[in-house]
Amino acid sequence: MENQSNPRTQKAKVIDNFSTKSGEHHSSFSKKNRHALDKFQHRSLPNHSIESVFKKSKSIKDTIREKTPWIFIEKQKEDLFKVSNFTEFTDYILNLEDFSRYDSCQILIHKKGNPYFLSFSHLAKQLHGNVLFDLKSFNQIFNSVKKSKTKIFNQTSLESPHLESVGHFMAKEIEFKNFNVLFFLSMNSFIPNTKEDIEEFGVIIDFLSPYIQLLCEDISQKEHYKISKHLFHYFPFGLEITNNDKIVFKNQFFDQFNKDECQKYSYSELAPFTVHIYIPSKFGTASEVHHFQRVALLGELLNTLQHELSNPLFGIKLASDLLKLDAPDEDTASLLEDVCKSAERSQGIITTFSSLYHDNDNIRSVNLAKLIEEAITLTKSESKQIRKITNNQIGDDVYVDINASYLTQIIFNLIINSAQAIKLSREDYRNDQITITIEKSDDTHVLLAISDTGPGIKGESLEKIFTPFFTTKSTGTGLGLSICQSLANKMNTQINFKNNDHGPGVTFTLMLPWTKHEHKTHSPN
Amino acid sequence: MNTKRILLIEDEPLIQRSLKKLLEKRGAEVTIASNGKAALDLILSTSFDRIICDLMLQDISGFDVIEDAKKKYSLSEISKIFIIITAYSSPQVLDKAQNYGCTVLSKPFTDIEQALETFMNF
Repeated sequence: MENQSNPRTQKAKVIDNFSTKSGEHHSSFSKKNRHALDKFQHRSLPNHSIESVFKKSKSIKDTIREKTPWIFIEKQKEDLFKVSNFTEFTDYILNLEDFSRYDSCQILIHKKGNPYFLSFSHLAKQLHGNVLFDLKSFNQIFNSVKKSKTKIFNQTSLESPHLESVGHFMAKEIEFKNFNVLFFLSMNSFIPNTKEDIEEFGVIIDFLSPYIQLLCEDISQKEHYKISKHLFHYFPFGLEITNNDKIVFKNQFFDQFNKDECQKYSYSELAPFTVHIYIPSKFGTASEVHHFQRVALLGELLNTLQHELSNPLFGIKLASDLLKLDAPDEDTASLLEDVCKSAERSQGIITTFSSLYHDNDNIRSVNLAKLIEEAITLTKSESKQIRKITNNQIGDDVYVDINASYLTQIIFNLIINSAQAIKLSREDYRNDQITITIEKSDDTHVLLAISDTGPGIKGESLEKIFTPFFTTKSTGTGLGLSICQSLANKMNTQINFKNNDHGPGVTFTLMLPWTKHEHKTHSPN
Repeated sequence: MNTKRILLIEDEPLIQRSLKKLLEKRGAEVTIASNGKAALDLILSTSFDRIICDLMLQDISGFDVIEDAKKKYSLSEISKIFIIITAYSSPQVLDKAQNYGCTVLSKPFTDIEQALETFMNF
């Protein structure tokens, strides 16, 4: 019969429970032992892999609780669950009844990719934790332990300034997906450990390995936390984190920003926490900065282009004009007239393009129909095959007080967006169209609507469509609509959108202030 | 009336030839210089009633040409003889042209007839 007080029997039970279900009985220790070791050659934990344990890492303690009907008497199990870091873990190991004869324990942990490793040691009742940058040593030790058959060493066979054991010691390496861990246990004596010692040590460490991995993850999370906190703290704008409207964190700059003059951005990806960032409105958002950098570059390119193209175009115009006068017949004259007109049109386009980038912050009365026509011209290459219809319900002479450059960009972007949405949704878009409508909204406003027959806007896009960097296109920057909205805001208006009630597609609308004088003249009948 | 001699400093071949023809139709004798260096040689060696000068030349700026022309002409002569044509009529350019008292025409000319009249107004 087994005797619970006999340590040998108790040990046998440990191994037994690794290899068989609890309650099964094996008569001899060596048989059980072999059985257990056979199992261990194939996996670190019997009956359940580390991965499966960690799929439910939240219930790791429960998992261990369920699967540990073995050596650890109830108290030891409960103690294990109290262990929250490696220092405590070394303490715990040495306090295990089976390891009571050992008096030093050391754990080295390296997270793959990190330039350092951690050392936790428990030596003669002294606890140490260190960060060490001698990765070469770690790798040497790790490889020596991995290659060793006996796993028993002494100070000469495995020499390193980072190992704190004296005399003979046992080692065990564990490889996790993201971590390499080394375990050392020593009696600090000059009597070598026995084969049984090392078996026992290996079995227990293997069994504890899910818990060790959990502690590793925890350490690296704490590191992450430290870094994140640091970043948040030094984030150069106001930043606060709330949990259900309760402020849990404010960074060092938070109080320096006047919240009334700031644009507030909230991100709830870290639910239940919400991160709020306050950026001074006049500073401009990242997307605007990006946008203006692009515009600046474009402006320079356009300047060069304008000059380089203007001269030859003017030459073509002058020459064809001149030749027209000497044309031998009418056919040649009309051909030369066409050359002349094409040159003029090209000149017109390049001039429109450049002027687009010159009149900033300039609100003036602009002929809306004409502006729309120009914007459509600019979109031609991107939306060529898609029909565009202008539905002007007020008349050609409608003037609005806007920034022509901004409004052209908005219309340009909205048309391009619609065209891209249509093109992405189907191959044959002969029946699709983009309709630009101008109608009276009220006595002081004109409603500009750009409507398409594309797939419309669905799901999360509905909320995020104006969010910078949000895009549904693989090559999109996610800035188009966000910039449109910000340009609209600069003109004291805003862009709204709605999926079409009748038929597919979406309609974007924009209210524009009607120029007073023109409004009187052209008030609809 | 004597035939007026005009020097046209312009690097775009189509503009050179067209303007030359248009001016010749109006009875002027037109010499062409495609770059600033050639223009200066001509200015110093020949006398012109009018010099139509583009600003963006391949080698030097039209203003450099005018500056060097000071060797031969007084400032008041320069203001009468030179007419600047440019595709870059920025305020800075206009300011600088004003220092020389020169007329500036922006390219492309909106009204060619009017431009020709200006060129032929001696």
